[in-house]
Amino acid sequence: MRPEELKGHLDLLLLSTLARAPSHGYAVAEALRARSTGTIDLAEGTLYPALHRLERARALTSRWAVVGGRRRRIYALTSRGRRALAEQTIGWERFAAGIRAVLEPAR
Amino acid sequence: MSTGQLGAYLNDLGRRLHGSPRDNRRLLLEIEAHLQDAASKAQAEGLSMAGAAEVAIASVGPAADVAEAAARVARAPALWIRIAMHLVRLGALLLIILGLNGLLGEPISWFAGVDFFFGDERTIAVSAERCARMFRLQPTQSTCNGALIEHHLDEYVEHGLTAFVVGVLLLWAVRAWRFRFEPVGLERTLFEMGTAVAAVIQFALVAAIYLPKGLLGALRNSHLGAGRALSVGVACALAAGFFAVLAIRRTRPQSETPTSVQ
Repeated sequence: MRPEELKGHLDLLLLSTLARAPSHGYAVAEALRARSTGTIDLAEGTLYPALHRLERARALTSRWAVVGGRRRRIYALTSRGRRALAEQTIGWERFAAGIRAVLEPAR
Repeated sequence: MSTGQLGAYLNDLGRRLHGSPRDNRRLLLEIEAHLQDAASKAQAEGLSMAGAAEVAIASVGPAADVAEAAARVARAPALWIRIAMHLVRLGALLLIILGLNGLLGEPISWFAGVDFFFGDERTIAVSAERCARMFRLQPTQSTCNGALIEHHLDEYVEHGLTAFVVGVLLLWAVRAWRFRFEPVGLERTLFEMGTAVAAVIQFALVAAIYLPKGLLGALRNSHLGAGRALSVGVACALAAGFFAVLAIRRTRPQSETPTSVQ
């Protein structure tokens, strides 16, 4: 998947990944790649500014912790983040259903 | 893993970041941990240290893309701080222009004569006490008013030099602050164009006051002292022209080619 195709959906992907468990950036990137079976493979460095933005929007909280001998920033979803995830999931499902409906006759 | 390659990447990224020092440090620490994780994984899969570092860097992406993504989420300072910085910047520009005007006093007076700047003071009545002080300050002068004029020219140049240095320092401080906050897009256009427009108004007003005064003084053949008004007027007119060109250029749309995912 090209990076520009992810525009507007990155927040949803990050919120969804972190909804499963609090995690650090590298683990989030690994989870995204694994759960999308390699379809989502973006420049992982750009995940961090997106995580910072979500934290400023109070959708995430973060704290430093030592994991595997390395100091890492662990991100966790807030209640606001859960609400945002629910809203964005509904929006995405409507969007995907609309696209699917348009493509249907062409099959 | 090759810490040299990873270190070079982090240095490159650090140079490109325009956020606050605190935000930059946090991002660099996170990216460093990410690079080490990715390199460790690649090494565990059988790659050499150098190969693992290359894979890790490729997974993080170009430093320019990461910096661009970080710039888009940089924390903007409060509005009153931005307005204050605008005013400081304008003040610094005014000091620099006035300073340049003062610094020009020396060569202009050498070319056009001291009277062109302070000749109007030849008729000023000077008290004996002040006269003695002027002679102490300007021992080469033969008349009291000559010493007074020479003294004022020295002050004119010295004050100009001081204003210039203070203006440059203020401008440098504002630029250093801006380096930690780099507005983008429309905000950047407004930030820079707003300053340029305000500078045009500021310098055009000063030029409108002093330029006619200096020109009329010179044309009426009563040029004594006209140099002060003329030099301020000309310096400010040039500054107004410079900033007018800058403001016009700022109105042109900037080409932006975002490459990062947002």
